Amino acid sequence: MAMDLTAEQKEQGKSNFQNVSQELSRRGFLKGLSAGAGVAAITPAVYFGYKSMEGNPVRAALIGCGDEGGILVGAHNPEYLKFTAICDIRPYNRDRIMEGDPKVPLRPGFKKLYGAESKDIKVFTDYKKVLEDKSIEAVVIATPLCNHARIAIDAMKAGKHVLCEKLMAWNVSQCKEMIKVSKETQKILSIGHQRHYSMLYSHAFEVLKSGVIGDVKHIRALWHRNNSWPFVADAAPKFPIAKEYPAPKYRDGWYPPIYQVDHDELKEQSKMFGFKSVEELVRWRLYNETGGGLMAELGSHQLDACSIFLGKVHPLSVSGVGGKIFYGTDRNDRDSDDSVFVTFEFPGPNHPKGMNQGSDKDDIVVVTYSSLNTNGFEQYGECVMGSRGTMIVEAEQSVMLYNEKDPSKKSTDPKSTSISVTTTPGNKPVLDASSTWGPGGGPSAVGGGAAAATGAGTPVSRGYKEEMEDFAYKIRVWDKSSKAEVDMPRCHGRVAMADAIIALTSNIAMKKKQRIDFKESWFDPTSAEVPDGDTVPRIPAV
Amino acid sequence: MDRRNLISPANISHNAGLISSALNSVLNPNTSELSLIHIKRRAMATDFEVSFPLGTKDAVLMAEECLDLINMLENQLSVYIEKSEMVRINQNAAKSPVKVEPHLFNLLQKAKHLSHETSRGFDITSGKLVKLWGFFKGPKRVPSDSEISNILSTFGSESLILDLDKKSVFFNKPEIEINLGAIGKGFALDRVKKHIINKFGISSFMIHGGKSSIVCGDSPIDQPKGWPIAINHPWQPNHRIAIIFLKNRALGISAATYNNFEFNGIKYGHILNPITGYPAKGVATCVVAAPDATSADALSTAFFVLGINAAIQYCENHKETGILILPENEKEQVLVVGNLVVEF
Ligand SMILES: NC(=O)c1ccc[n+]([C@@H]2O[C@H](COP(=O)([O-])OP(=O)(O)OC[C@H]3O[C@@H](n4cnc5c(N)ncnc54)[C@H](O)[C@@H]3O)[C@@H](O)[C@H]2O)c1
Repeated sequence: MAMDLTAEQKEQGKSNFQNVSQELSRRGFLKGLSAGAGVAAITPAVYFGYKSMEGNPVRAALIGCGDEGGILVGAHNPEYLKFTAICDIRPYNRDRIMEGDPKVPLRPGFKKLYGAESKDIKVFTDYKKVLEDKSIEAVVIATPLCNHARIAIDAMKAGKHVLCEKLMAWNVSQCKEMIKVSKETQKILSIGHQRHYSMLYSHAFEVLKSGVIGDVKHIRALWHRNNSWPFVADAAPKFPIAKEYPAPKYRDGWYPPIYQVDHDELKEQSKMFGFKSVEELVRWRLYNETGGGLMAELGSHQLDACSIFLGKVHPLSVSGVGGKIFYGTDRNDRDSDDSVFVTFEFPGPNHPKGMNQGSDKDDIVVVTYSSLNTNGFEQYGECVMGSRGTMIVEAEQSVMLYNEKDPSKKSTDPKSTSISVTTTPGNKPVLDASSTWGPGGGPSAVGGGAAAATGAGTPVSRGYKEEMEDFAYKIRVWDKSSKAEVDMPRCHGRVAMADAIIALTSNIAMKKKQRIDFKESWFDPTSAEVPDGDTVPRIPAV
Repeated sequence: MDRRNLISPANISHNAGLISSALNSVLNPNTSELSLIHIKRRAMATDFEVSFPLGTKDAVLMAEECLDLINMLENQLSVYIEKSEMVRINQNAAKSPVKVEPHLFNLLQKAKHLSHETSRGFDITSGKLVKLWGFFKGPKRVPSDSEISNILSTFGSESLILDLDKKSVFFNKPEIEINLGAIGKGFALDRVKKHIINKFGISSFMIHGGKSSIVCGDSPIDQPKGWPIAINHPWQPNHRIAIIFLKNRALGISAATYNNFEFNGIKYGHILNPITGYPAKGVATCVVAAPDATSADALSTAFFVLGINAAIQYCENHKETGILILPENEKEQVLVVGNLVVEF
């Protein structure tokens, strides 16, 4: 995002945001802020309203131990949720979830995290066997999109609480079915749109709500990646690559190599698990039958963020252009579009369908979203454009805030004003004097200030940890008390279904080259109505 | 909505100051802790920063206005900005008297006075000398002795003819070029200080330009001695020489740190002695405390050039001034003279 900002301007934008959050928090508008002098730090647990597990973590199984499963394992807190079992059909990933991913520190693996205890983790290939295990209270599902619904529904029916990765399901009928089953079985269903558990996004929303950037009429969100560089195989791979499948031509996470171990074990069996081939299983994101394309994988998160910014509202319409315009035969080919540009109309705060349920039908927010594979110049994120300021959330890691230049005031570029807060013990210097004349006395020489206030250096939690902690805590309270009193997790079925509707309807609009108006009934889990093209309430056999 | 609401959302609560300072003391039971909010912007080739005790109502709003004022002054005073009033004066004042904006006129008057008081240890008319050494826009060079002796006779503040009634300036020597580098930051700080006190009615604040010009208002709560400012060794930034406490006063610091260069094994500092035409030598750091930042700024340059004896003499006649000098020669002692609250 924000391609015209220098590193210095970014730092200034960050401390501007920090300062506004602090002002709001001191005035009681925010429940707290993680960093900053003068304001007591508040933990995500307090912020999101969950408490300690008192030495009684939820016993959970991880179903699907691939890339995301590995990240979730790396982020989970065993005091809340302890994995006692894992399940995957690919031997490659069963190995990796235990041993860790040497190239990705965020996937440390169970051996490192649990030490000797990792030997006690039960290993399954068939999730139905997991569901039979009475000692398991909950499942975390991180399998390809096409079988989220099947596994989640079976799990709830077997008495397990479910945290399922996003996108909630392959189509909207499946989402509705999942919500129905959750009600019938009285099991918690939480979906992994982690931005609902990010302190950064929560604070960004509060800052927006305070009106400081004026009228918001436009949001620009994007996730651009450059997956056009030639593929280079590992020099000494732990597992040899199978020759039976087309090799990746480009370095592209959606088109990974296929390992011999997986081929050997699954070439016959993959069909039993609902995949046409081992290739469809491993490269599931590329195919319409198994994945949902860029809108499901990346767009859903960011339109989720836009919905959060606008007060968890539903969009009014979508249109867009998408296509497979880069990849092709023998070149990381796929069903799905490799480039999507979509435009939404969302209700602004005073629209009848907006946050304040007003009467101004013209209060519309235009949201544009793009995701592509051939340029990675801009960092991914969301840029909220207001009449008095701009807020940029970059890579789930930082928020920057800038005011608009006021034409009635003779002032410099507002991007260049920085704000920070410092605290010093009594009588200790508040400033280190120095001599500057011309260059040399630049910002790096300025002590305290911005770096201290923005807590530079420590990565911000993207929300995975908190999402799992809250899930576990809700389970404990849920099982103990009369259920009606318990809040559902923040990204429960209805919330996540809205994100699925946005992503899947965008796909339909691009495919049909049509503008589609969203119907409120689609968002109603009790209504049978679903977006066009979603007529087959298919839940694949697994 | 006012743009300043962006950072200090005044529309939310006008009692913010009260609420937050109360909250602050709850959160910081150790009340001698000092929490400040700093608002910083680049101007005059350095960073200007306005600081208030955290919880000061509309802190950012006020600071932004102050920084706007500094940007405005830069546009007026800088010799690096093509259309500045200063450039216009330099281009025309040798031909005929040029009318000057009243505040700037006062500044020229004060600069001339300070030059006189310091026997030319400080001189704003030495712009050509600065250029001769390449300190204006580079490249830096060592001029020949004859170049220097030729230029020395072409300037001097006594040749600034200031007409108080007409508020005009005339250069009695055609070669004169004014450079406010050693006084402009202090002047800007004094202007901002007035603005904060008169317009906002705020008395507790600290403002600095590049950390070498500082002006402070009343002490923050629980800091009776004043605003503590650290003075560090110019070459060893972790070596603290002293802490100076400032209350309704200003500080100017000149040190041989930046912008120096080496030629034939000799290091040349960036502060030129207007009397000899060569970089000043002998002082590592000169810190001057004075009632106003304009004077503090100019005097720190003057005594960096003139050295310890001149500083002692000056303080005898100007009881309001305090000076700290760290000599270049490590064997010599730090000098503290005059009105200065200092801790080692
Ligand atoms: N929240 C996020 O930021 C985020 C990020 C990446 C992926 N995801 C989601 O996580 C899910 C998994 O993505 P991934 O990148 O890990 O994919 P992946 O292909 O790396 O891993 C999926 C794993 O599921 C296994 N699997 C498939 N069918 C199974 C079955 N019937 N039983 C047991 N295991 C089965 C596969 O063998 C594979 O190991 C997807 O829904 C994806 O959208 C979420």
